[in-house]
Parts: sequence; structure tokens; C-alpha cells
Amino acid sequence: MLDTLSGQPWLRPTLDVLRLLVFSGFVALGISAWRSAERRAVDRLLVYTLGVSLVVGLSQVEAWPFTNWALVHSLAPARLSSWEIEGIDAFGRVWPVDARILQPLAPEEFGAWMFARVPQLPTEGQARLGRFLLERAEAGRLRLRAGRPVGTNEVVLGPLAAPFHFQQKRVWSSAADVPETPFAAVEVRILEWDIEERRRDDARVKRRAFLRYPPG
Amino acid sequence: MSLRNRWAAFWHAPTSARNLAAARALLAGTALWIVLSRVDLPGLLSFPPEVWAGVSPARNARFFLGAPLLVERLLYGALHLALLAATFGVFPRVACFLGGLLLYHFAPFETIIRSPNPYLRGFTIPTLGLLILSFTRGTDALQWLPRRAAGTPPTLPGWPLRLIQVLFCQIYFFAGYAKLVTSGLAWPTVENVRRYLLGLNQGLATHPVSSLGYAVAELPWVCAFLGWAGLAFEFLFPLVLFSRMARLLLLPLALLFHAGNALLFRIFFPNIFLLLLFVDWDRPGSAS
Repeated sequence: MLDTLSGQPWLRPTLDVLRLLVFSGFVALGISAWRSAERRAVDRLLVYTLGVSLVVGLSQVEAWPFTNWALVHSLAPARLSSWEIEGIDAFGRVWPVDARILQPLAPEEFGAWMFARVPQLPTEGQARLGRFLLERAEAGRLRLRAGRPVGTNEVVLGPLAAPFHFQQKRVWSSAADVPETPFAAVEVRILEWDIEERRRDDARVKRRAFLRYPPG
Repeated sequence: MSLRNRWAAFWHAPTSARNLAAARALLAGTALWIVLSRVDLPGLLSFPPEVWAGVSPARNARFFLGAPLLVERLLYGALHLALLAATFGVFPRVACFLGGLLLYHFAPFETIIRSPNPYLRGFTIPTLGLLILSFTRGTDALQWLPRRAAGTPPTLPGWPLRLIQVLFCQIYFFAGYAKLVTSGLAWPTVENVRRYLLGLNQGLATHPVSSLGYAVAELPWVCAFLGWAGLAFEFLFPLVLFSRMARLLLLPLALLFHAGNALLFRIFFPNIFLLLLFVDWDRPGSAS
């Protein structure tokens, strides 16, 4: 029954509207508590907020900003996959590209979207995404060579900027990490590995091409 | 004591104006720190349309998304101003209300192309907390502007701070609960913790082989300790709501817990400063 229900096209939009109503109820009760001098109005807000947050937490079904707080809660898989971007310069040399070029988007968010959506994109959609990545990589290269932050997150606070939830590796640290000439192409590659095999030999990672721009 | 009296004693005991003002500064300051660290968040709208194609109209409506980039940039600027004003007590109630609503609008930008649930990115507790503070007349406590003619009352309703503390405790409790509901007692086992230590460092560290996570993964008793002690800590953390002794023990442990998560698992907790919500700012060596 739950499977049948979850397959209904109207379910997700309906749930989004319901979640907006849940948040609206919180705000409405809050305003009511502020306008009324009565303790009863405050109690209504307290009961509602506690009730919603407990239902969300216990059911593990989000209604953000009331949320389930689940983190690394599944059993860790034996095999993992990830992704990387490489830039290719005019001489055909290959350079790793720093994922900070995607900021303000966190790499894990882009990766999750990319794995789920890119294979379904038509050719022109993939080309548009590839061109976007090439432009971003090139802009990041220019910023690095100019001595500026690679991504946008550190523009104001510099090294004091809040890191992403999952701390990311910094591929680029100096101008020597990028070519002097513009990137001519980019390639996204999928990385797959067995955790224990890679522990014994860090090179045991399978790489395969996922997206290249310009194609060819 | 009757249930009604217990309820009143827990929620309606007064707190000092200084504690409420500190909570306001902590929530707004934390949000401002993250906002300033995601200075181009509205720029996500300039990503290719394919990236946004999976965000349904209902989801856009839920978070009031859909305005042009220029409008979003102006609103993001307004969010900065609201958080700055809330942090420093300038028209604090209005600033908290606007800050909370604008955070509700902007926080999902961090994950919306994948999920409408941007928890653990740092904005969840500030969103709820700033709105809760705006719902009480006590929010004007210790305001700088406009100047209060009557001065600051010594005590104010304690329920807003209590409610924010309860919501903060849920982070830990439901993190532990989710592990048990999803994975059962297999979660804190040596094998599972070891795989997380290795896998997260392989995926996130520049040199996983020399990472601390790799070194710890080779020690089965440490893996078992991390699994069981971490789970116990998550379930026990809500005791800080009821016991001063628990606060003195669990708040420093929370710092250790997050430092361990950052060093071993490469997971950063952006609300770390909100642990200070439990400090009694009238007696800073104590806890509220």
C-alpha cells in the first residue's frame, strides 16, 4: 500500500504544500503568542512546536525546518563511488580541477544531482552542463593565478569562512596547480573503489569517463 | 508535583535579559557567519536550467522560490542586514522575524537540487530560533537601538530559550535514533565504524593514507568505543535540559565529539557555537 501511495505523482507536491502549512502554523501560533499576553497562547505554540518536531524526528520524515537530523545513519557500504573533474589545456595536458569552482554549491550536492540526473539529460543538456563546468573551471583558474580565492565562499571571510558539512579536499593550492593557458576542455570522471582494497593500495580506484566537453 | 506544575516550572520559569540577548546574538551571529561564508548563494540561480529542472513548482512554492536573480540578491542583502541587526540588538524583534523568514527562504538553496531538507548545513536552528525569539516581547532585551526609556527588566519569559535548547538537543537525540531505526545494533560495530573511517577519508581527504581516520581504523577497540560511546552521547545529551551536572559534563564532551567528528570522519558541525546557548551568562562559569 505504501509503495502504491509513494508512486502517485500527486503525493510529492501535496506533501510540499502540507509542509508549508506546517511551517505557516508555527509562524501563526508564534505571532498569536506575541500578540496575546496569555500563557495559554504560549502553551499552544510550545505544544505545536514540540509535537511537530517529535513527529518529524520519530517518523524520520522531514518537514524542514523541522527535520529528522539523520547523519551517517545507514550501514557503511563496502564499495564507494565519487567523481572528479579534469581540465585539459590547449597542449592536451590534463589538470585536476578543484571542486571549489562550484561554490556556493557543495561538491556532494552537485555529485548527488549529477549521478541521478545527467544520464537522463538529452545531448544538448549535457553540452550545456559541460560548457558551464568549463567556464567555471576557467574562472577558477584565473582567480587562482590572480592570487584570489578559488571559490566564492572565502571571498569575504577568507580562511575564517565556515567549511561545508563534509570537509573537502583542496586540489589547488598555488598557481602551479593550473596551466598558464586557458582550459580547452573538461572531463568529469566517475571513481569507484572497494574500501578495503583501497586501504591496502591507494591506487586501486577505477575511473571512467562520465561527461566531456567539448565532446570528442 | 502535578504535570501542570512541572510543565510550568520547565517552560515558564523566568530567565535573565542577558541570557535571552546572548541567545539572540548566538543564533543571529551563527547564521551571519554562514551567510557570509556562502556569499553567492543566490548565484545558484545562474546554474544551467538542467540543474534546477528537478525542483517542482510545489517545492518552489514551499520555499517562496522563483524570483529573478536580482531580486534574490537584494533579499540576500536584506538577510545580511537583518542578521547583523539581530546580532547587535538593533530593532531586535523585527530583525529576528525578518531574519528567520529570510533564512527559511534561503537555507534550501544549499541542497534544493537534491533535497528540500537542508539540515546540518547550519541554518536550521537559527531559522527556528530567531523566529521563536521574535515571538516574545522579551526579544527587545538588551537592545542597543532604539534606546529603551524604561530600561531593561531584570527577568524575562524563559520559554523561548528553553524551546530553542530543546530543539538543539533534538539534533543529537534524533541522530542517535536514526542510526538505531535504520541500522539497528549493527551501527556501532567495529566493522561499520571502520568502514566509515576509511570510506569518508578516502572520499574527502587529500592524503587518506596519512589521515588520523586511517590510523584509528586499525584499532578495533577504538572503533568499538567510538561507535558505542558516540551513540550513548547522542542519546544522553538531552539531559543537559534537566541537570546542571549533566551540562558540566556533556557540554565539554560535545566539543570533543565534534572535534573527533571533524578530525576522524571529516564532518564539520556548523552550529558548534550554539552549545553556548546552555551557558548562564549571569554566571558564565555555570550553565543556564
